[in-house]
Amino acid sequence: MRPDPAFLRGLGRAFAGALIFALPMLMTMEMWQLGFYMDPLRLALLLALTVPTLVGLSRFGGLRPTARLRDDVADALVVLLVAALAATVTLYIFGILAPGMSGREIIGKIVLQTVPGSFGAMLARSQLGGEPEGEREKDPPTYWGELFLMGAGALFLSFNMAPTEEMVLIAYKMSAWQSVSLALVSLGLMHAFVYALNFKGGSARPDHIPAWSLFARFSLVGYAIVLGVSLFSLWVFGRTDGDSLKEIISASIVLGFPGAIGAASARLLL
Amino acid sequence: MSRSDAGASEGATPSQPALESTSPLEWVIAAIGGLLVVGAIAYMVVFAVAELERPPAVTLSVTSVTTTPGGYLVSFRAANAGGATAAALQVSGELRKGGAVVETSAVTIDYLPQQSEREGGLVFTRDPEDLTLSLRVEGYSEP
Repeated sequence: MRPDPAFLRGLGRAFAGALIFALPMLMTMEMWQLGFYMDPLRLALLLALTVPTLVGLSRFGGLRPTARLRDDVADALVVLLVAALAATVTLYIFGILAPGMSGREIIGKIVLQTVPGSFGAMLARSQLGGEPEGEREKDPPTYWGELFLMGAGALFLSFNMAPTEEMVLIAYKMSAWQSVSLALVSLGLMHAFVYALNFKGGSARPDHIPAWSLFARFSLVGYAIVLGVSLFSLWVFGRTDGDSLKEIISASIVLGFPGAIGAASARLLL
Repeated sequence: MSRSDAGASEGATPSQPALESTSPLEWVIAAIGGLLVVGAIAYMVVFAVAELERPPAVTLSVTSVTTTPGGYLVSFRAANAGGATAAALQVSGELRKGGAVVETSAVTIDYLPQQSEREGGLVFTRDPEDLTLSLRVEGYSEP
């Protein structure tokens, strides 16, 4: 069972990726506090959903070119362990984990930080180099694969902002018209990204697809996914509890703005 | 995402790099990761079932009284034995002399998580040694 140097390099890269992507959240006060006061069932659900998302990401990017689904599952679990380790070490050095804290508080803080860290660790390969793209076995994603990547991109960016007070505060400050404008701007930006990526480098698609089809199948559906992901992120962090429907929609649109950027650029990011 | 097992044989083509399969070491690490994930989920679910309806239950205990340039510092520890987090926890202290309150002091603890401890201090101008000191929790908000 001699460790394979390529595997160790992959672990190191995953650790670096976890740190790079999770540092903004590791240094955010709300994330520490949510670790102990958020609903434990929602935290459990979030962690449970992270596993299939990581498996999907491994399919399209990930630590190494994988042959079978079970290798993707192995990668996802390795990445979660690396992310948990990175979160524990960093939080301990920051003094966020200290004696006198209960198991619930410590585990909650680590689990919450493990989620974005594992995303970063999984993306480390495509982000931090590794083999040149040309050498890699990479499937051109199917339509459903593209939608999955959009959802993952949205989740990744919205996760950065959903825990903060500012999302709800911005929603309070915006009038209904400003909310509608933000939704239209998000949708327009998303379409611009999708359109630009479609013709530049992205997966080869026939040129004769009409623009309206592209808009309906990618931008519109993509934005619906973004809003769903935003709503889910807000709900997981308890940001929707006790709010009126109008405020919940408004906050989803606010969070959907970064989410739309993340979704549309997912193919660049992931 | 409907690749299934089709990729297993693709590594054989000479123009493409061989697809890596999972080494035993990686499986060991993956197994540890899997155990941690399952353990964390189980812990949270058990916690939710066991602790959901219990409100914060805070007890205060004085750990030390020291003389500082700003006055007499009464350090205390707040422990929450309940099942929920107390936010903006108001702790006040009184110094009494024969039943009459001679001095009060108060402090707010931002968050006191369930089953956890936090430390704080109250400052008085009079020496608590000569008087009767009592601490109490005035209130909190839900986070």
